[in-house]
Amino acid sequence: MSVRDSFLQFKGVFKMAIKDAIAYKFEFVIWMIAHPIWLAALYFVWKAIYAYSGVDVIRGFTFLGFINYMILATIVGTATWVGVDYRTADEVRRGTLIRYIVKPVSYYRNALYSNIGWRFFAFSFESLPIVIFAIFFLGLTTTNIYFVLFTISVILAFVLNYTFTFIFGLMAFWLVKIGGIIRVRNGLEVLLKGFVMPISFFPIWFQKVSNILPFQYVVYVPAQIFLQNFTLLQSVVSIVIQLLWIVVLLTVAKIIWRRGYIRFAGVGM
Amino acid sequence: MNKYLRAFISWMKLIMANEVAYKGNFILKVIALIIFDFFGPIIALLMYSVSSGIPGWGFEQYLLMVGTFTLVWGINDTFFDNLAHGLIHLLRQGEFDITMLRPFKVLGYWTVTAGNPRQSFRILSGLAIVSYALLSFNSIVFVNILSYIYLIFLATLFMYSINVLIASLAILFVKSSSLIGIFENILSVGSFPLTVYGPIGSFIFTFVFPLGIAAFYPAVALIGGLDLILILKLTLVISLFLVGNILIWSFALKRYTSAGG
Repeated sequence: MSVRDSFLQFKGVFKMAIKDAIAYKFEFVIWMIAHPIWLAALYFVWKAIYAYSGVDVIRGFTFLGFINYMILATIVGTATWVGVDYRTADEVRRGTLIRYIVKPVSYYRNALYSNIGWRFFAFSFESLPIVIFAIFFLGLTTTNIYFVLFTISVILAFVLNYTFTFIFGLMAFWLVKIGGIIRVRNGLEVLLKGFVMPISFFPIWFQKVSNILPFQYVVYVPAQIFLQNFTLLQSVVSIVIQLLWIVVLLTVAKIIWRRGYIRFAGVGM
Repeated sequence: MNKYLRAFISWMKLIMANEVAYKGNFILKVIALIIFDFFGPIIALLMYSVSSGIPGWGFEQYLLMVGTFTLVWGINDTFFDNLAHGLIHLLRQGEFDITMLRPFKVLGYWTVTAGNPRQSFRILSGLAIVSYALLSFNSIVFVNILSYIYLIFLATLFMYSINVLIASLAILFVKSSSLIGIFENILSVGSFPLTVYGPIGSFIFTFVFPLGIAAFYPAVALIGGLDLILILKLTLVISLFLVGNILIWSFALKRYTSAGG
């Protein structure tokens, strides 16, 4: 398949996803309000904590650095969020996954393009107000080179998160209901990705465990790159590790897909 | 037996049967609940291990507040889990009209058929965290325990009011489950001591939008006792909040257009 064909496929699915997303624009507008509320609460709480502790820096973060990290974690979290696990499980359960046999684009890529469309729209609505506020009022900024590295890292974080989530969706080939597994994963991910706090706030043993798992490369690493808490070399190495994780997870996804699809009867309800 | 009580019992049995139909999935959902419930203590532990913590609140005191917040959420989810969520779903499907055909008042029916017994594990998590925090206290005055229980009751009424408000807003404006997300974020603000928000924030979260009742005031009552006058004021505020939201519900119901589907 030529690059042009791939691009045309991407364009078609992307445009359709955007149209779908527009129908749900109120959802995104609501989240546009919800995110700042939580961030405002964190601002007050951590302002009090820093003042009470009488220190300027906690685990490498100044107060402003911490708030900017939490803002970036929210932004990157919004940009990389995917729901492909539930979608895949639903397609398996209903038997509708069978239709992708006759399509010129694989299910993995079709759902990926669709997710990119949704995220593009959602990100614009949900994150832009926070980004504008952070730039003008909190001085959230970085250098050009770090911005380029951050952008690359976020794109890779999206693909990494998408592929990992996709693997969980494939469990539906063996299990009828996977909602429970997904919820457990979501719970662990919130901590391991660095959503609730920078990973450096956790004990050393937790940081060591986190280093050998892919989760921190979805939120924590891109945010640290933007904040220039990583050197250029560390940033590049982190991006290479993200790439390696994508290759590993893609291989696992392909193996599971093949084994699962053999079991799939195309029957569902 | 009162027909509402019968409906409540039937609903809880039905939901439980539905939940345990896939036992493995049910167990994993419970594990996920517990994992999420212990985020609060984990975050508290991290906060206090890297800093001096929240001014005026020792670790165990803050843990007591976190446990109380989990307990109140647990009560909310056990009894009102589906109130706003289920209603929004029916509104989108255009099936809300069916509710009006039942031999119940609409809000009454929604109230007694909104529970989910699985969520009671959150109550247990909350109680476990509160109990652990209390171990470090030398003694607790009996009157403070009574105040605490009473304020938890008020907190339950507050959470119920919020559910009614979300349901009303869903009828009036947006039939979106994201509305619940907004309120969850707003309510999360109440998981921290009101003192960090300054005097204006404290006033707003006590008398205008009383989310301080969700954890802060019960915890303060248990730790150091709460002025009786303040308890009476909170009772008045929560009562007005509840009545106000029921009036909004009535207003919304009259404007229901049956336009979903």
